[in-house]
Amino acid sequence: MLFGLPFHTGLIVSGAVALVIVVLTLWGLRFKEAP
Amino acid sequence: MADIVTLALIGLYFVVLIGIGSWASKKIHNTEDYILAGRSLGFWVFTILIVCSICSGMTLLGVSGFGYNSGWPGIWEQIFVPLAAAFCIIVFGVKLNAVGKERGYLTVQDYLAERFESPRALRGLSAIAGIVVSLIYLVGQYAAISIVLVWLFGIPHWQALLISGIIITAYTVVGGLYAVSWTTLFQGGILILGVILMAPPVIASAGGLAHIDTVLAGIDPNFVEPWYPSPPYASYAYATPEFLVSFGILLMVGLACAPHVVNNVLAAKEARYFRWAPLVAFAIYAVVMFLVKFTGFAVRSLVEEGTLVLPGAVNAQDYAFIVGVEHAMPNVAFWALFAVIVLAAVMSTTDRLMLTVGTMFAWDVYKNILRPSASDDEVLLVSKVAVVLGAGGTLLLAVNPPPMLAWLIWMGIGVMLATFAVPLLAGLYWRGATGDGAIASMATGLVAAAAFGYWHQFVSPLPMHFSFFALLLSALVMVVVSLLSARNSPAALDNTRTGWFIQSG
Repeated sequence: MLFGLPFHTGLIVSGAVALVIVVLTLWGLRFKEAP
Repeated sequence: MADIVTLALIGLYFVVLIGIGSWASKKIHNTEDYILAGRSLGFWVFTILIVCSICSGMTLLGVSGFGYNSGWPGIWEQIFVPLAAAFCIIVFGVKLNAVGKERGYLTVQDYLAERFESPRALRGLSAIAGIVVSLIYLVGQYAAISIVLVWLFGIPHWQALLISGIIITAYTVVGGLYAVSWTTLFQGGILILGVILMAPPVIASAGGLAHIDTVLAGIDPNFVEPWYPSPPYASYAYATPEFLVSFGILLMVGLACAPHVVNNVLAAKEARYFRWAPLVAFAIYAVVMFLVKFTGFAVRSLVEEGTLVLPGAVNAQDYAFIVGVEHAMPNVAFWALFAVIVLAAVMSTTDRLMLTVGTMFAWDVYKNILRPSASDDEVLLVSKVAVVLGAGGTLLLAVNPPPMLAWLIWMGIGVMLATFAVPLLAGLYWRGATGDGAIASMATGLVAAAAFGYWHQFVSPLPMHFSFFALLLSALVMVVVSLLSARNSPAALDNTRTGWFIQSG
């Protein structure tokens, strides 16, 4: 249980948020400044 | 409900808005200043403008209401809507901002007209579709503002509309995007801080998230699942996996390509903002969205335990946030702040919509189609008149809102997705997309969204959001017609940096 949630619900939702944050961070790190 | 503290705070809030409008009016020297704030928006003004153009009154009332009704399966909204801001900046913003600066675009219609070499047909079709959808959305925003003011002051509906309408119109007309963006920074700050301040006490008053989830699971075990089983077994259990896919596309892509959102990317001062703006916009917006949703869960838990009772209205769930705050914070000063927060959420979307309507009419329809010889001063004047007329017309409609207002607003978002997503995405990333393909796909999306929306509402419910089917048709028509029609010239494609890349060079 996570905060009263079934484990899989907590895992799926927090996993989705973490995935978005990772993707957007990677975007920021790989962004090229315009010449 | 109104008292001297509330009146003073709302009065002060309105004075600040008018003050920003007055300051902004001194910076307006030409149409570009008015429409794009002279392409001068800094990182924070730009990022908060994108967030708050998307975040409307629905964010506070509708999101907590959805949480109240549907529990955790609706939590995906908290990821999809903030993602719309990031999607808009990355997928549309990087390229449109660069090309817009090079080619001097004032609106996204300028881009479509050059990319598809269709200075009149596509520009006109997209501008008129954009104006109609924005006006529908505006009626809904005004209706939301008046609900808040009527509830706070007990004044008649029309007086509430008149007060808010005059203030928003005043600062938008005199200050253009300068006023809209800086008032939005101010309003966005209030909204974000307010929600961070107010939601946790409501959640705590319900016993904390773990207790709330236990109560939710007792109502329906699926309330704490990530989605509902398919097919839906109850009216609240529509967030099935297939529905969530279409819902995700609708929110993420549909809101990102809405005219009042995507046009903001042309006004960012520097391209380097696009590096971290997606993450910052997502993070800020997600915090607000999750907190509001958890407030909806908390109020459901409090109602189930008999601590709270919602009003006996048809849309009782939309009062969840209000009732929750009232319960957790009886202190009057918090009430005043709460009133300003809701107003800030609604007004920061309303002003951007009004400016978008005025701009599309004055620049795309009047200057580029009806009267190409019009001077800059004339276009500026027409733009301001269009803002006033648009505000007046939608205010009148909001006094007697159409009976199907909620349906019309959802229809508006669905139409935005089905009409604008394919021509914009194909235009930016596929060199084979042609002008004929864009016109055909835009027209198909518009008609198909209306037809599927009607079918879902009045004939037979569809398993996915109606806009998804219209989007597929629009994409299909784009591909087929583009393959059958003559390609756009290499010069037009190169000038608009068309190709399968986000950043060139």
